[in-house]
Amino acid sequence: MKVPISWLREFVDVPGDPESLAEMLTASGMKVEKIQRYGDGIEDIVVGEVSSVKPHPDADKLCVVQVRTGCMDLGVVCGASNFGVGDKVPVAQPGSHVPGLGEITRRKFRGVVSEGMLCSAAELGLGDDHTGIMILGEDSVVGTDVGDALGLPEAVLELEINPNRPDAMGMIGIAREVAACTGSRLKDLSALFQYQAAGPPVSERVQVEVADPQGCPRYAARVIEGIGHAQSPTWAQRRLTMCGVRPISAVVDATNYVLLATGHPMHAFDMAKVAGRRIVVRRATQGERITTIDGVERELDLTDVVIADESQPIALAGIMGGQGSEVTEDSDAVILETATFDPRSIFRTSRRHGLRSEASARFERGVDVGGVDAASKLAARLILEWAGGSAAQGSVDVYPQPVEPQLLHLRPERARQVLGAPLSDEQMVEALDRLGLDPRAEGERIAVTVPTYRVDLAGEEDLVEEVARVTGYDRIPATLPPGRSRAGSLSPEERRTRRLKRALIGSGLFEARTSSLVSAQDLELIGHHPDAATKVANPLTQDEALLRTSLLPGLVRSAVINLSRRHGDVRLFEAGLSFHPNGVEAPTERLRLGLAIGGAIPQQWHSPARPTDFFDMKGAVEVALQSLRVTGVRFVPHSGYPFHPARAAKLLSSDGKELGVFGEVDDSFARKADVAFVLSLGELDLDALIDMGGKPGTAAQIGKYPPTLLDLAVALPEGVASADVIATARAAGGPLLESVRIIDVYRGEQVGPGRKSLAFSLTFRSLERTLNENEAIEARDAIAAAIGKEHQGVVRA
Amino acid sequence: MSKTAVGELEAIAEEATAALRDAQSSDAVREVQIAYLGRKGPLAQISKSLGKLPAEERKTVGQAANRVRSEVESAIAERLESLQEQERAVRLEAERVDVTLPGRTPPTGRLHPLTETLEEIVDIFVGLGFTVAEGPLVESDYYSFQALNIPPDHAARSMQDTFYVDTGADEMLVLRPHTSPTQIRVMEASDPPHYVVMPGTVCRRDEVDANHLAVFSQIEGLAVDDGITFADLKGVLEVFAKQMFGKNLRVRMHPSYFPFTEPSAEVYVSCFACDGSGCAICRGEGWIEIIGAGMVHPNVFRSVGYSPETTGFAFGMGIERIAKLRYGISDLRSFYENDTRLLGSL
Repeated sequence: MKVPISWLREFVDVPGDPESLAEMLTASGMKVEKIQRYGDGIEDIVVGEVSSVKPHPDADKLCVVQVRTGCMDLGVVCGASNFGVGDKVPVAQPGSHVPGLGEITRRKFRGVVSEGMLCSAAELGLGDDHTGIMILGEDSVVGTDVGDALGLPEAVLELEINPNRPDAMGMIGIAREVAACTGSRLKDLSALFQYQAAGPPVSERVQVEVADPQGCPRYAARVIEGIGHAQSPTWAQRRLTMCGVRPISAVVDATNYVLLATGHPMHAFDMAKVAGRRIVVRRATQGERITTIDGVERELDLTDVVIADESQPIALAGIMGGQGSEVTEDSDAVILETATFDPRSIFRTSRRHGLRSEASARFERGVDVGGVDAASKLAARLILEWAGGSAAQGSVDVYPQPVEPQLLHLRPERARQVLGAPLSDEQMVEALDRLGLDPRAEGERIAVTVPTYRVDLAGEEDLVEEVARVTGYDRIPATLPPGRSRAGSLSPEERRTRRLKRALIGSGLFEARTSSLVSAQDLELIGHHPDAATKVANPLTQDEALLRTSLLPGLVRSAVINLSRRHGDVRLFEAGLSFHPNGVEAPTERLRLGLAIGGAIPQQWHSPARPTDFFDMKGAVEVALQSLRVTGVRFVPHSGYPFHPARAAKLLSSDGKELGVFGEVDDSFARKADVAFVLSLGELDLDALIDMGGKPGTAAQIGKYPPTLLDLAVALPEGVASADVIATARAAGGPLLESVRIIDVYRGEQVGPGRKSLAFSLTFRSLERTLNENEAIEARDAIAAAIGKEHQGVVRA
Repeated sequence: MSKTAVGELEAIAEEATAALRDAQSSDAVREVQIAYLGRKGPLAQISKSLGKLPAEERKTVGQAANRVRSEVESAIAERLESLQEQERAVRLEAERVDVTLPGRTPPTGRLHPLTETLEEIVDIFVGLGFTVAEGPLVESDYYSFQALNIPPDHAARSMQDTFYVDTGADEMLVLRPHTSPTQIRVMEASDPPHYVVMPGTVCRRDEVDANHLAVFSQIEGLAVDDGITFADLKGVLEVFAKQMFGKNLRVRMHPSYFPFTEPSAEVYVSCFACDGSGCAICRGEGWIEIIGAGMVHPNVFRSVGYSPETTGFAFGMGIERIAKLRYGISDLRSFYENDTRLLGSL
């Protein structure tokens, strides 16, 4: 909402400069986002009338203009040509000031003396239009100050109006707010709403029927006949322009002016185009059509409220007029509509048609039903003033159930209880009085009468806010909640998740965040069927059409972003939710851990380059498991898109439940995903892992006697899993075997094709005594024998 | 004879001293040691021959031999020590490293700045006695709006555009546009007192640009207890803001509108970058809006079956917005690109 301060001053005394006004309004909840200034620094620029335009004798692009500025005629050299004889233009005479140019002097242009300059709108600080000289309205008086004619300088406040305050979507509403802040009263506005009506009664000109009183609680019509085609006066056009409304014609401008002044939307119909001169407010029939003035044909349904004539809809009620009944240059008589509509119905229709207007923005919040007549009168008065004609007498005002001002009560004690501020009853009464709520002390309560324009005040809590707002939030102290002992805490899940994240970043992974919304292609890419994902019913783009069933699409995208911008390796993880359809119920939300590791670790002075692979991924998985204290899990080979069939694993719980998969991606995936580097992905069920995670264990017994270390190398068939061999070793090694570490994996001539050699470092230790080497050798031989038997292993010398 | 022998000993001592002088390494010194003090060395020879000397002479020569031996021994030890010192210095110098070469760092990652920010916020409220609760992203219309005093077709619904999800049920579900539904779930689950913060992902049907994301994160707070006041809300948020952004920060509240609170407030902190004098971060205003807050609306209490006379406060803030301000991020989308160069720099 843009508020020119000069306009505000018509309704209320405005103290101080624009900045302090802005601060005051912001502190009261009417947030001023910006102060726009117009015409700052102009001085002594006057209205001139062009009496002749002649070419410059010595320059193609210049002309010499004679302008009359009252008592004088000035010859001015000018570079623009958008004006003609008789036009009124701003003239900066020698000695005047133009912002940015300073004082204007007499000077020669190619031999011709210019006695000043003609100004563009931009030069006057009125916008960006540099293209030509500003043409002033015909009503401008030659020789008068342009600043006065245009109301300059001017400051316009840009306010953000909260959706509960439609009453503040007009100058008068803002003026009331200023009055409440300063403790002053609105000026007497009664003269604004008076006009001469000489014609027959309105009811002889137009009939109004409200067939849907719920959708339209009040509908008032006035009629003005014999209007001419005219423009609104310059000062009014200026106001409209400063408020962001384009001037069109006297009649349309008058309705817009009233909208901005009172917050009450108006509409004018060309009476000749209203069939049967009959206005019917009704629900649309199914499939009925209307072309609104924006040129769009709209199909209506039973929930839309329309203004119709005898035969068809002529306006989408409260939102936009129809093209067919629009006021034009040729209009001779207008029907002025001032009405209120059901906010919900307006909200629904405006949304369904994707059509928002100044009118709908107000009606959907609630327009003052008590202000209809005043707004209608102001519009009639302005049209008579600006476009001429004669008004029919009175109005047709269909208002079957007049709304009485609401009575509300405030318990001062309750207000103190909610606010925690030591406000006296008297202070509250004063605050409510400033707001025009007519407060009366009634025993323990304060009774107020809520004017119909304050549609937002419906209960005691609203009055508490009004009191706090008007007295100022800065008057409320800052305290801490009552001293009941209470302990704050994180949930155990959150604590574990934090531990997991810290372990992963400690081992070189970056935490990533990716969107919960994905595209169908994203899911297809990783082998998930889009039909198995929850769909967004009204996506804005196809990129955000589905709820993710996996964290991997986002991580793949981030990995690609990283490695398209730099070389090296990328290691990412995300702990986030995935969503799994659950019939008509809300989808199941699962916490998952997604991992992406790819690219090559670059060479450093102490280590060679190497590509990342399956084991980097497995390492990250192991860190995750360790940090959550998950034990007793197994890794088994996994094959399935998008993974490399021989380089992926499934993580299983001891009872065989699948906890996740990870591995290098398949080349077919890499092609589809446009991944030009090695990449491993993994996704684990974090909810399950957190559930499985153990409490801190009891301390292990640590042997103090020296260990005996022995090596063992065994040639094995290729298909034997090292984990199985270790399990065999552990089983056969007896109590002395402390640990088994794989120190080498060898394939080659020495073991022959189809076989591999695993070398182990075995640590033996007794908790009771120093071990005799022979005991260790015996145990190792037992291990070797067991491996030989169970895995066709051959001990290598 | 004895004179000769003594003279011989003197000569040996001199010779040994000369040999030590010539010895340029500890190994050479050891050779000198073997040559003069070894079993086959001249001193040993003289000692062996002592028996053949008359007793008187044996004593003189013996004493002289012992003196020379100990002289040579200490000369050797001295020389050895000095050479070893030199050799050690050479060896250590040869082991010198370029201390400016980068260390063997284990690779380290970083928490995401949004996580860091959120954890910090959560921890401050935990310190103030709050616990943490979460609720689903896919919510019912009831929890997202109606229970929060936003009836169907109410203008307040256009305060944010909402994504809907059609599961085929009678009513569409929504992707919650704020974390406030969790307030309702918390209040339904147990009676007051409640001191809870509720972080979570939210979605708004917004055109994505540098300042808007369709999917982002918020944290909501709720305190419901006997005697909770607006002043308490102010106090708690002041403590929070000072811990989060700096002790000298000032906090200001302006009236605002949220359907689920009354009175409602927008909470501003003095710009932590310029301390209120106006800069690019606060867009010259000196103040930054970070929190929406207010006293829980009685209709919200009614919808969870509490007495409308209950008092409590609620507040909410956007994590991306706060992180953006803290880290000086100009484009919110970069939080979700996960470029590790950016993440690592924060």
